[in-house]
Amino acid sequence: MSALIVLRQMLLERWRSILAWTVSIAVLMLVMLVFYPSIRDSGADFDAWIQSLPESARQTFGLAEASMTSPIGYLISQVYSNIYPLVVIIMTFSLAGWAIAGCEADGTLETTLSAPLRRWVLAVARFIGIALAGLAVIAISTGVLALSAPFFDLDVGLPGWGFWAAGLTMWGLVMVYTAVVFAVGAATGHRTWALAAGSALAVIGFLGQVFASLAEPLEFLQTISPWYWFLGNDPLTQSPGWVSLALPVTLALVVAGAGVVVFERRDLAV
Amino acid sequence: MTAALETRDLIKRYVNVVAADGVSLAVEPGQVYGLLGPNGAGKSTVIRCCLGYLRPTSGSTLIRVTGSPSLGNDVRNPRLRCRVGYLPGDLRLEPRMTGRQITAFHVSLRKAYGAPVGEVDVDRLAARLDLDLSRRFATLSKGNRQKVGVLLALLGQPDLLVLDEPTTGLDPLVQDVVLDLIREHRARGAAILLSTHILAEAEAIADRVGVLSRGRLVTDRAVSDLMATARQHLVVTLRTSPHDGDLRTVPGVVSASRVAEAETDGAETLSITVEGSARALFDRLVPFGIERIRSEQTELDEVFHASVEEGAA
Repeated sequence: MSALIVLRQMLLERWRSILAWTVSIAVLMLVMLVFYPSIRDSGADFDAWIQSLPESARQTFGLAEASMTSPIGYLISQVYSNIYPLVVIIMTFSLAGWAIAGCEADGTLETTLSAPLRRWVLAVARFIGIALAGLAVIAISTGVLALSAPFFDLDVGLPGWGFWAAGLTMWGLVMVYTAVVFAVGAATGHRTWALAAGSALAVIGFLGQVFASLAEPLEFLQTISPWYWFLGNDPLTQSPGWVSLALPVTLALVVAGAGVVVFERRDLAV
Repeated sequence: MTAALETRDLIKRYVNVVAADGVSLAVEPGQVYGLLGPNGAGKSTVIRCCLGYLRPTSGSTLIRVTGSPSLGNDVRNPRLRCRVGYLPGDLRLEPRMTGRQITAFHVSLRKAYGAPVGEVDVDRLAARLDLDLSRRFATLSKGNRQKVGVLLALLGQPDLLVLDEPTTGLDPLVQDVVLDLIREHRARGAAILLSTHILAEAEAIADRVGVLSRGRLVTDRAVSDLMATARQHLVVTLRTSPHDGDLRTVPGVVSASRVAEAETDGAETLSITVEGSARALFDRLVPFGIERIRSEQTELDEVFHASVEEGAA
């Protein structure tokens, strides 16, 4: 009951920001689709130019496996490998930084906890709120992608549920790094440290899966990179599985849970 | 009588500073305990240890609700917390929320644990404080923001009230309303811990005072005892003038000197410092024709110094 009250209040306090992000990301996805016909029409020339790029560059921008002029190749390389998860991560990071550490720094946490409310209930409710906000933003932008794709011939070769499967597994990826920001913020009370830790791990994970495909000795990086759990599973054509969804979600819960445990026991910087 | 709030040898040590150094105090039901001290004396640290925001380095804190032993002593237990009202010293609330949305959140949480509180109570308190709840917190003046904090602290008729500088930013009329509300809570048996750096406020409302200086409780006694030894600064205008030397022989008078003020009809103004009761002084002044008396606020520093000196003696 208390958790629901906290969730409702979080929505009241944050709905403008969440709505703005939702609309912005949905519009961005639409813009990404609009560019596809011109790239497809460039056809072989474009693919030849891609192939002329160094292997490392192609891996970094997700251009290694498929032709960029094919619908799936375009979506993976231009949408799901970088810009889409990046903008969703920025949104969930801002919420995760605010949830405990941000409120502690601006002094509102002290008054919130003057109410009959356990610290861990507040923290868990806010983490659930962040997860739901991320899911809602992805669901709406995925809806825009799924509904608009046929108008730009981007649905060719995709199962009907392809966009939704990719959206769900991308949510798993986003939640891993969001949980890091949330947990470091909850454990330390420092928003800057939290954002730095989440951002650093996201970049390391991204580069790790790139380097892993370039050099055999680094292949082990794939197994520990949440980016590979997401992208290595052909997210648009494979249904979510243990590695692509259950593993990142479980990891996110464990990391966030660790943050809540420390938050419950530490001094508040009030 | 069982204390509603108690600290025993409370020590809170940070890396470079001891914010609370062996503080032992008790607030009983039906009592206002004034915790006095300048900024940085450790008042907020003691309060935050009592309310579970900070963990004591050593010693203990205890909160107990009389008549409800089943609630236990865990200050973070929401059912116990329903009976505790708290106003932070530096009140911050979500700026985009209206007073109504903020109070609704706190009312809902209390109701979730069965506390008998509702919007009616909010409206009643808002009316007493002359507070418009429809405005966003960010648009409120400092005084009106403080009123929101006072309202939140008083929600649900708490049995223990912890108020950190409650009259900060309030105009004198609203200060009186807040002090009246505190008196009403005391009258129905609530225990109240009130931190302040204004001696006059403690004198007006507190039954007992503790004086904190650099984390140490240098005085803990009835407010009447403290005021009996506190210095008063009086500015007295007399129709005719006594000799300064005569006044210095009066019991309690520490100093007396003439003040250059715009006098009329040959009246004379004297600045006199008295320790404790001023009765003997007034007896001596009556024959000289007292025209006007102005009492200047006793600086808290003087009380601290007196307390420290007394403790050292």
